Amino acid sequence: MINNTFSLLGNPNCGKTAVFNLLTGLDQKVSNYPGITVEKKVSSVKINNSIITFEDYPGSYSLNPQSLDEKIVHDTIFSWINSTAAKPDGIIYVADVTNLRRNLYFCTQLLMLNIPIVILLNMSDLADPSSIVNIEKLKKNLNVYEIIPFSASKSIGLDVLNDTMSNIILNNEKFTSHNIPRVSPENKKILTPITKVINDNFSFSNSFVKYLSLSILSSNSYYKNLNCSENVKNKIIEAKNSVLNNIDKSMHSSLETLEPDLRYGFIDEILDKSDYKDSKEVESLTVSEKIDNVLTHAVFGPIIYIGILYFIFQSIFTYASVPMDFIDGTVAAFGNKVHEFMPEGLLRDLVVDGIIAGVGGIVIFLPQILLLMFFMIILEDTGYMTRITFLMDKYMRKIGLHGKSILPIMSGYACAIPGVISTRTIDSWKERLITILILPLISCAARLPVYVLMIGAFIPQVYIYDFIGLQGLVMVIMYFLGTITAFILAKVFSKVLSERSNPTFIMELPPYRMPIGRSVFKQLINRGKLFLLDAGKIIMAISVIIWFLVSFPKIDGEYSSINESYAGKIGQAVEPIIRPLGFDWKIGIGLITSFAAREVVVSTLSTIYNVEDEGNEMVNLKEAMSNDVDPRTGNKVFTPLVAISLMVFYVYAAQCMATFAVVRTETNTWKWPVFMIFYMTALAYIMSFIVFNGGKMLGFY
Amino acid sequence: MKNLYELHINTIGKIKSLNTKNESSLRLSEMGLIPGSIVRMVKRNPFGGPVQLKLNDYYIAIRKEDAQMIFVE
Repeated sequence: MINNTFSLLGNPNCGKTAVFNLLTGLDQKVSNYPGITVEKKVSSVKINNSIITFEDYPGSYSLNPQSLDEKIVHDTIFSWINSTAAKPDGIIYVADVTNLRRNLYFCTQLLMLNIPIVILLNMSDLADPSSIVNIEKLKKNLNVYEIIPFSASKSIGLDVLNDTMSNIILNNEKFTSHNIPRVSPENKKILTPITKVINDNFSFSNSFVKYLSLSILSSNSYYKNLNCSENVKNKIIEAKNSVLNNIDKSMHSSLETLEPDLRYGFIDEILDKSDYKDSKEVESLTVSEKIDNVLTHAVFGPIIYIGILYFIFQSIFTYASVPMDFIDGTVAAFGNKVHEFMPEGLLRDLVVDGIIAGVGGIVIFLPQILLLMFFMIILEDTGYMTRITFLMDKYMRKIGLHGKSILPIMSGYACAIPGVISTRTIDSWKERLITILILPLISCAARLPVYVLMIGAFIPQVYIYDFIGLQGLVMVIMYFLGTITAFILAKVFSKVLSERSNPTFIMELPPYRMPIGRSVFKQLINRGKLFLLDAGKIIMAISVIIWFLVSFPKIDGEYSSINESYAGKIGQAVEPIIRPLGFDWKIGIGLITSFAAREVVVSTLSTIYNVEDEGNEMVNLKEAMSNDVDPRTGNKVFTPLVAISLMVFYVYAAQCMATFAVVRTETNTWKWPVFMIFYMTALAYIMSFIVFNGGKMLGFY
Repeated sequence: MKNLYELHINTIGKIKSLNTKNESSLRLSEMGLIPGSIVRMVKRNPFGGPVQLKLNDYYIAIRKEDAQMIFVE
């Protein structure tokens, strides 16, 4: 069986991801993980006796890229042009039928590729496609392979699509070229100098050369996307200038819209010939607009937004505790069972004290991460996220960010990594960079275990004015501290940095839609998998290393006490540096292991106290910590002040190496991740120092 | 001739020309804001925030600065 590839392309918000999720089912390998240059999702399925690999690309409005996401699509399409082997067997172009005219724009650019195109008129459950356009005529006028009324939410059109793909695979060589927009003879003449340079330096088809020349003329920066030497780029600029010199200056601004004018002219002509009924006039008030009258209202909008945020965080802390207690109990019971059944010896110690204690300390946070991800997916899939962007743009600009920074920042409360990746939609480099730089200051889900442990163990549950719980208040303060610092630094960076900025904000506000259960569920499963498998691997390895470092060297076949172990030695070596912050060497080991991931500090402390405890049962970490006494001073190792100092340290410290690896790939230089590590470490040390010593002076020790 | 930002709420204008700087002209026109298009002003965000427009069958938000460089009649 030969492997066949179909690529999914389309505008943002056309429902492409839902189509991909419908086509590929639950069992799939999704490779949208950081570190991969090409951000696409790939999945293989068996359909009608052939294996079909689907590739899902980021949504684009045009082949002329304005954001990194669109640049990825642009570069992929150029790789198809340069190598026949890289070409997919077909393009599945997903178009929102309720907004057909605009959705066809990007499609007209793909028509030049000589790859069979199947257009899915998605959202057919919301509007009957045959009442909007004559599908047969549209197919004939564009001369595409097939046009199928489709609905990802109601699974309409799936069989027809499967049969169409089988046909494409069988009749591969019978491809006929599509109808494409024609460049007028006058414009052809105007473009000649550019066309000549392109023909001299690239081997593209005639129609594609015309398209490229148009793009170069219409856009000031498009030529930068071409894969060629500086010399060729200079020749292109020269050719463009010679074109501009031949035209009257007053006409220059209309040149910028030359390509869109041409394409929309083509689209309108095709749609006219296909009995297109532009049913919805600009006057008409849609349901979405009525909802927007409330949700993006000048006064109610922000209030509702804050209410939703409050509801999300409240639910995470309330509902997650049930599965968390369950996991906690199960892991402890499992550890004790294994302890009973395994023969005494090194292996048992490794499994129970090393692996189970370490990994168990992490699995417990899965419910919280999944809940947060669930809310994020719902906010995005309903279309509400774009409204927040619209609502917040002015305020985000005030602090040096962009309206589109809101989504990365909100994702940052779950994990900085997807947050950093989602900055790709921000079209201005400076604002994108600043968003990345401040993102790790937003308290992510990995800090939560540290806060929960420290607050649970050392902050008394007392109530202020009978209803504000002190524990909850401290938690809110930690989140607030990170967020407010992030905003202040954003403002500072925007003043200091001299990166290039593009002060535009063009954002489609898609209609409100009901999220598709299947699609939401699948995104959640993938998120959970990534967390458990990728993070889990690192955590498992570190747990074993920590266990080894705390358990060895053995003295006369017996475990040495923990201060004589390797870990003890390392911890004691760093202790002088962290002593001014109130931390002892055990916390020192935790700080070091946190470089893998912040939550590892919990499993590290858990492993240390489990090994230190001679007994057979697994120890309760909170009790062990609050009973721990420093043998040199006779004082307790942990006091509420130490706990707060430690939490403040975790608010600011640069610890999760995976984040910086992703920043490296996203910014394409080590400069920015190194800068982040420095400024965050300095901030953590200074703030912790102030909190601990300030607290001591006030008599809190 | 007035600019798009001055359009009254819920009134309709026909795009005459786009004079925006940077790359926004191109993207705006790719989104369908080309001379001759009909738009309706839906909402202006307070404190000089972005505006929401209806264009063809969909809604689009753009910044005040860009809206002021688009002329309508």
